[in-house]
Amino acid sequence: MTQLEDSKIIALFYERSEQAIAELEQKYGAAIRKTAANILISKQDVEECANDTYLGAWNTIPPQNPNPLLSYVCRIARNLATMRYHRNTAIKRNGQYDVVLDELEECIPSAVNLETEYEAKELSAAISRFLDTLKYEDRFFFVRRYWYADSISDIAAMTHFDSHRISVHLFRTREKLHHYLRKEGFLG
Amino acid sequence: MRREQLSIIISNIDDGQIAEAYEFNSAVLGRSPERITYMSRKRIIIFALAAALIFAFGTAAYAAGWFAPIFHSIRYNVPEVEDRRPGSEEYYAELEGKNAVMEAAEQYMNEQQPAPETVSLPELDNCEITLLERYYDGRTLVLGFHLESDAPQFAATYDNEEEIREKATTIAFADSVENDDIDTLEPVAYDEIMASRSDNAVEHGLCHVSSIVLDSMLFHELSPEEYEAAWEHLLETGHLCVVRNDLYVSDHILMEDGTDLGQTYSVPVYESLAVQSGNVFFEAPELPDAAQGLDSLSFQVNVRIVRSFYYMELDGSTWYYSELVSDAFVPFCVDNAER
Repeated sequence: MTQLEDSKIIALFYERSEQAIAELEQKYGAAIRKTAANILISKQDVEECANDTYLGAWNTIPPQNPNPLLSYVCRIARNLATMRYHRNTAIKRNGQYDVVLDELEECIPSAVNLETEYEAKELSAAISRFLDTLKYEDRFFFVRRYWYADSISDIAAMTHFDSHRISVHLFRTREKLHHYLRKEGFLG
Repeated sequence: MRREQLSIIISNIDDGQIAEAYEFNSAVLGRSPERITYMSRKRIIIFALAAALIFAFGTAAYAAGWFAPIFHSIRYNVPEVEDRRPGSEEYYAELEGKNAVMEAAEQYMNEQQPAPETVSLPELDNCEITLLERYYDGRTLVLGFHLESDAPQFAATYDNEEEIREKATTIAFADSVENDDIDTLEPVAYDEIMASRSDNAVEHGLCHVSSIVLDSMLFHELSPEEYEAAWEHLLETGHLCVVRNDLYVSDHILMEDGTDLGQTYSVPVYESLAVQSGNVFFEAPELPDAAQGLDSLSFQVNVRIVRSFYYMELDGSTWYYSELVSDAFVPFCVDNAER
């Protein structure tokens, strides 16, 4: 099955053609659902999140002209999934994503007090700068684990690295990130 | 910080990094931002000439390609001005300063060609440390070492297991696992660990995280024959000990009088700071006053072997014991490149 180039899918959005949704789903539907499924347990939640993602793309393109399109729609899916996750977990915790957040709290502890949206964006930018300094595989492991919320075994399957080795790399990266954020003045 | 806020902060990392991680690209595996893989034709010629000259002076190992140039490969990743994130000027300026030092260091090595110095250390499993590259400008010291040892990093051992059992007091946790008790593990993490078990671990019912991880380490680090022999021993006696030797250069570099040269940044050019054979790079950017502005700087590096014993019983108990086996201080000297 032929997949359209990103620019052609975006052109369909600009033409307000509903074919844009079909093409987006065909090309990136699996990635969108996987992103949501790593955070949400319920299949129904995942499907609703995917549909909301297509709607989010429809509502924002135009004026947005995202490049790359993949990370744009995955970001929408992730944001919707985490909102739904936090709403759901007011009742019950979800094992996998909770483990991911627990791990992140090791290096970005609750002592960090971000009072403004600007400070939060600065912290995101600092994490991006830190990721730029990592080897490719360490950056890949980190983003897959903490952005895509993949399980260690999923990352192992993608990379053919041993699960234990990935855990060790992630552990060291979290330590380095903690050290980096301290040096950058984000941690007291 | 609330967990919702943590989610948002991670969510807002760079688009390019998210796109890059969509698919794994094994072709760029191991590529480090500190390394520049591009080598100009002019630079290739310079290195070929340098290698030939060094060979002529009798340092055959260097010319034969045993040692990859280190300074050449160390550069910090600084984006083009238009791609820089606002508010990070100080950070980029620091990296540019480091790159300027590394370029000067590389040029110094090309022009002056101080011969590599190798010291054999029989007391440290007959390892050899070679000061391969060195640079000192009166303010900053950068060093590139090569370490070589024939001792295997991992070995299954069957001697003195009881003695080691007596010493071992710390349970051998997996990284990030704080408690080996099955009941306290996060269900998802435990499922993943159980799913990763080897055939032997499944057959013999290993169910503690520490023993599963230890078995995985054996599987990956020992030869198939050694791994089978280790399991035979485990089944016969009910216990097993694996020894891991870590040979490394301490990141505390000292002057002759013991003055510490201060915070040192190290980049293992190979995978791990603990190496049996590999290159290690050190940068001491903020030398103490006593080490600044000298005609030459004499210093000593501490080479260490730390031995870790992983002791395992078939019933699932796993213990860990680590000790400094031996170390040696090795003196070197570097001339001030600006004199």
